[in-house]
Amino acid sequence: MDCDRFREVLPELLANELGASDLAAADDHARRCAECGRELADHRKAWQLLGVLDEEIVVAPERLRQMAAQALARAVAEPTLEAGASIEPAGGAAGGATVRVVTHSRWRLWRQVAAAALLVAGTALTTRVWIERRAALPDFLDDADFVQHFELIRDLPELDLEGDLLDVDDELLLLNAMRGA
Amino acid sequence: MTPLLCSLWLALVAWFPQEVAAPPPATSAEARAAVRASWSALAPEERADIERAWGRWKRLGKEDRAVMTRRHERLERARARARELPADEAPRGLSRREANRRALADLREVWDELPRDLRRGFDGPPGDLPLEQRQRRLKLEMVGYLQFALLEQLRPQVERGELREDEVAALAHRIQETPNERTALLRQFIVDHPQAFRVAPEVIEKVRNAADPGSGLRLLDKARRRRGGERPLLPPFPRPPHPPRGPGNGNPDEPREPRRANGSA
Repeated sequence: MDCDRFREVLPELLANELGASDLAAADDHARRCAECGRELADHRKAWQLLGVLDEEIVVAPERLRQMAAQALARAVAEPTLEAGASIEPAGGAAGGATVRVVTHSRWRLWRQVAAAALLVAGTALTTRVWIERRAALPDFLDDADFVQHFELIRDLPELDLEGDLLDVDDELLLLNAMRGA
Repeated sequence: MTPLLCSLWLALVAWFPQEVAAPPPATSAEARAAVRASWSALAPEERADIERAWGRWKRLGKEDRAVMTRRHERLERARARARELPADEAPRGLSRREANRRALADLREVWDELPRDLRRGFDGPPGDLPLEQRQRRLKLEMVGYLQFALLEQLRPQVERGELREDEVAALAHRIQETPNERTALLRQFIVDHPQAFRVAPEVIEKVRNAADPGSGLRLLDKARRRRGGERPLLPPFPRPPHPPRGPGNGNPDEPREPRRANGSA
């Protein structure tokens, strides 16, 4: 086994997962190659340290009750973290260990939504009223000439079509009366 | 020098009093509110009609507006009469259009029976004369014919000795001379000579007591219709007929085509 092959099988060697022949060859190379032997020794020390950290952390029941009480008190005192909430670092660059929870409460969210809806509805209503008002009441309704002669203008088609009759209505009346007498 | 003179000239033109159009008459807030209320109550088609009529009214000149104003006063009077008829003759709450139609029906009936030569003179093509001139000419022709028809109509009574010739001649003369009193004159003449006109005493009383002379004369026509008597034809006009005024001036015996709404007379 050469050095490259030794480095390839090193993780399996540390995990005791190498086959018997590979294990024998690796041990043999580690004894003969000083550099690979030193690397194997360093890795084994690191694995030993990891093994220490993996050991079960034992927390005293009293400490657990205290932690639970503190968490419960915080939850009661502060608003619930809602969807849409953001967490910002507190205390500047040095305060990375703690966070400040900036909440957007349900009430505040609904208030914003309602305000936006009101704004949209108000704009739409005003536009509609304005359009309808313009459609229903044309500008000439305020024209003094139109207002003064409104009744006449209403009858203007008849005054055009039957104007001759109206021009001589007295004479037609007299002619008719003479015939009836 | 030239720019200075130009500036002076412009300043003079600007300073010189210009003819300013008379401002439109002020309208009260109540009048505007009433118009708005009427407008809101109208159907869309009526609004469209009024909008068209407003466009036409704006184009009318001062004289044409005066003609239309006179016509409108007459139409309003006729419409009021149509609405005052008893309920068996006209339902209550006649629509404006229906009231107009009824108001003009009697006039139309007499108009359509005018002698053809007379009507031919009236029925010029639209646009032939300005409104005001047309109205004046029409009035003149009708008054001339009225005087003639009066003498013709009363000739039998004169021949029978029921009326005096000088009385009839005086009536015809006064009818021509006093246009504003001719209705009252004729009513009084009929009331004074009930025998000659074959009018029953109770009808004569109603004619005499009618609120206005025109209503009195209408009572005569109504009484005649109730009797079922035939109306004598109006006498033909002896004056030479007017030449046709152009293509489209058809047979005057045919129903008269309504004038176009563009209003050109």
